[in-house]
Amino acid sequence: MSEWERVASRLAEVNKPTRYTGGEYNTIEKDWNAVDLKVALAFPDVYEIGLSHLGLRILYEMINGHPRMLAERVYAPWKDFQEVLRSEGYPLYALESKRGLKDFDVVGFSLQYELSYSTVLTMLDLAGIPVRSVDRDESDPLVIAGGPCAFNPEPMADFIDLFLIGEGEDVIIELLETIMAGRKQGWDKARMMEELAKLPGVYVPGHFTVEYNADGTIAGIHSVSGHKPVRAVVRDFNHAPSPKRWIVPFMEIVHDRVAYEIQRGCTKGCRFCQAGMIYRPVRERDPQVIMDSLKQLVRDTGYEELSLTSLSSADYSHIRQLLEEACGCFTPAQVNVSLPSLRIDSFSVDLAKTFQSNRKGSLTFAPEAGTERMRRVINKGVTEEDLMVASEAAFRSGWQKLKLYFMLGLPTETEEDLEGIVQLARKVEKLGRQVYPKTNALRITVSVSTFVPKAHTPYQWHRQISVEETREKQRYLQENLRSKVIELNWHDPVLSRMEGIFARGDRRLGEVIYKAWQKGAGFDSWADEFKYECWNEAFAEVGIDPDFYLRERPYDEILPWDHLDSGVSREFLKEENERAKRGILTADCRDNPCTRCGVCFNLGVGPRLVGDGRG
Amino acid sequence: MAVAEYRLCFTKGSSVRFLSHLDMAKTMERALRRADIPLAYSEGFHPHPKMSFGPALAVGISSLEEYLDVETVADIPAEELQERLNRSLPEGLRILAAKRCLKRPKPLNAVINRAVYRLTLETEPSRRPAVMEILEHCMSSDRLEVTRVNKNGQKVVNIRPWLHNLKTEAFDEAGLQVSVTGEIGSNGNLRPDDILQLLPFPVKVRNIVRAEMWHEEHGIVVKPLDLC
Repeated sequence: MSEWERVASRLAEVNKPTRYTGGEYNTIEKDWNAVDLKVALAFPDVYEIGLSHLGLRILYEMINGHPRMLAERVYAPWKDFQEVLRSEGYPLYALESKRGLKDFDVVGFSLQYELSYSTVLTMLDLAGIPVRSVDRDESDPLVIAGGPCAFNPEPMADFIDLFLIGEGEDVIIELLETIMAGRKQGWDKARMMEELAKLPGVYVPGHFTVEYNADGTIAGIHSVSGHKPVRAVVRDFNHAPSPKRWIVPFMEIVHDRVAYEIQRGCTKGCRFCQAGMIYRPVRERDPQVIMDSLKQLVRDTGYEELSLTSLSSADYSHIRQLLEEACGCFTPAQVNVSLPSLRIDSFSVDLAKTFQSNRKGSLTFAPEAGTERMRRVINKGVTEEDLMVASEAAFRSGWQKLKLYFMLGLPTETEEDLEGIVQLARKVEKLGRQVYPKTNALRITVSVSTFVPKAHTPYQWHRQISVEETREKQRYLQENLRSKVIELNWHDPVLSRMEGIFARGDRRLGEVIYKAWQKGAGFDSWADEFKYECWNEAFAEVGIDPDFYLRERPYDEILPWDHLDSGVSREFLKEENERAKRGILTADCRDNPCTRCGVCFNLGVGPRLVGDGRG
Repeated sequence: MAVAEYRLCFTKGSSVRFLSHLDMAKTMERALRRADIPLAYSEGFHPHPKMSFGPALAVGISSLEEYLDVETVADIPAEELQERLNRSLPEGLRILAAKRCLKRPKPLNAVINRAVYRLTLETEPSRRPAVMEILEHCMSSDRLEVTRVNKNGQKVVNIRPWLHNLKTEAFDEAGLQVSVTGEIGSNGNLRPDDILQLLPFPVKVRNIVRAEMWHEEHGIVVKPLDLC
């Protein structure tokens, strides 16, 4: 029995064992002896979440497409299987070869949300790799990370050798080729880091020093190497690589479908939205490229559902034609087509009618805020009438379930805005009752999350509301939204608090993460696993007041991520924050003049809309 | 409209032995679609392909002989279906035989009532003769009681009526292979690990394989492929 077979013989003891076996259709298993560089692509959460993530799929196929490299996958094992690995003395392994992560040259983490940080440490530790960068030597893999969290990666600076900021597909091959060349030349880690830091999008936290003022604010961030990290960007998104060998899992995963990115970026300019800032500009793919890819993907996966994804798919220039063509092509073959997000208008409801012949499910609208004033503040120029028209269209088209998304604690929010949420929900309920006077199936789900200010957005200076304030607002909604039809749900305010601390934290939080992890933190985004006491003890031991990171910050304060350039200028963010305070809308540059956010000029890229000649 | 029905016999190898019944259904369905086999679908809002599997296999057990019936809307030679499907299956799953049914067959679950399991066990060499003797003796017992645990609690059941044959064979130093033929289906189920409970001390299970299934009545054995 091989070593791994010994572990496998215990898989019947654990929940969802196919998380750990590999062998899914379309996985790529390359010969270890035929390549010079091995990369483990790691996602710090369970398999069914990690494999649902598009970004790692793109990189997996790009790296494996290189004749001298291979990439394998690894996800965070659930606690039952962690126990098996520990008791069998087998390291955390990649699914393809079953080799421990220590055998790889590079381990690359995708950091999609702050509450996955402690799980990164768990994974490194299970693999027998020292969790802190300074404790790793030449025999350890390089530990790199990317994803939206890399736009303020400071809390993870102690653990990650190098961050990739921005769109990884732009630079990953160049990065890995440099590492391969360096290995051949016998560069040590320091020399390697020096060379890698020259590449676009690369940020080596060890090349920067941070000084603090007596009050805890940052006095200065100094680049030792002189480089200033600038976000990587895909300039030709139309031809940018997208997965062709789409891995088909055995078990059900969170997004159990083919996902195809029809465009990158969103310029709606919602001021709270980090994705809307860090993935600029808008770049659409040609409908023909999309259709060709979809046909190939459906044929080679056998999947029964495909999704035309992007940050705002209803905004794609030719969305109606594309959707109709896709449905015409795939519906007869029993393949469902879907869009992940809808705008609040009857056009979007029409789109939904095209692809959802079954209206038993729900439609989701995200007004985000309760009053028109508040929505102008966040630059979500949706009117109450828009919502009523869209809701009525949805009800009249046969949907009986609507979901409405809101945020609590947005800048300048008053009681009136909370009341606005109640009133909006009530009006939609009334509308629903008019259309469906007799049914019990009518359901309005009101989902509220706590607003978490993020780095590189116009609200990066803004204060985050406290757990107590959040609870008070939630109580208000609960008391005022009692109804058989309305279902209210919300995010755990404590998790939002933690997310906010790390979203705008600095590198002093590394010690807190380390200590909390040592005390047993891990899988923090899983409400049942989250251990608040571990974190509170860690903050106390390190001597850090977490509220320091949630406070409002003046414009002249140095922010922990100020040395990282997202392409969007600080001036633009500031201007947007000021316009927010005055409730002035900023138009989408898709069909309006340039808003001078700076991204096109700073990164040497342009928006691309299909058929408008700007491509 | 379904125009043809096929009965497939396939293996579930060690690498895919942790697939649940549901995982297996999805995996087969997607493989059939990749192979461009024109599946027949049920009517309604949630059309699903008309396919049905034989008796479920416990997670963690591989099999040399599983069965699946599938309906199509086009008449394809069985050999072609088999070949195309084999090219589309993940490693570990392999179609051994495909037969276009001559008439609408009785469901697999209604006809299959015997399953053979092979258990590879490890014992201390000194205990092996005792283990073999206890197991061989089962066939001449009147009652064999085992405890089964389900969500309603524990239950003692007599598995003797479901045990139709049992043979042991020693190999290596400590290895022991046990072949058990048991009842499966609506008249009762012998589980392969039931027999481990009959031993007075724990043994290590190296693996369990379902080796064969058939229909048996009045001592006459008919294989599922001969019943369609």
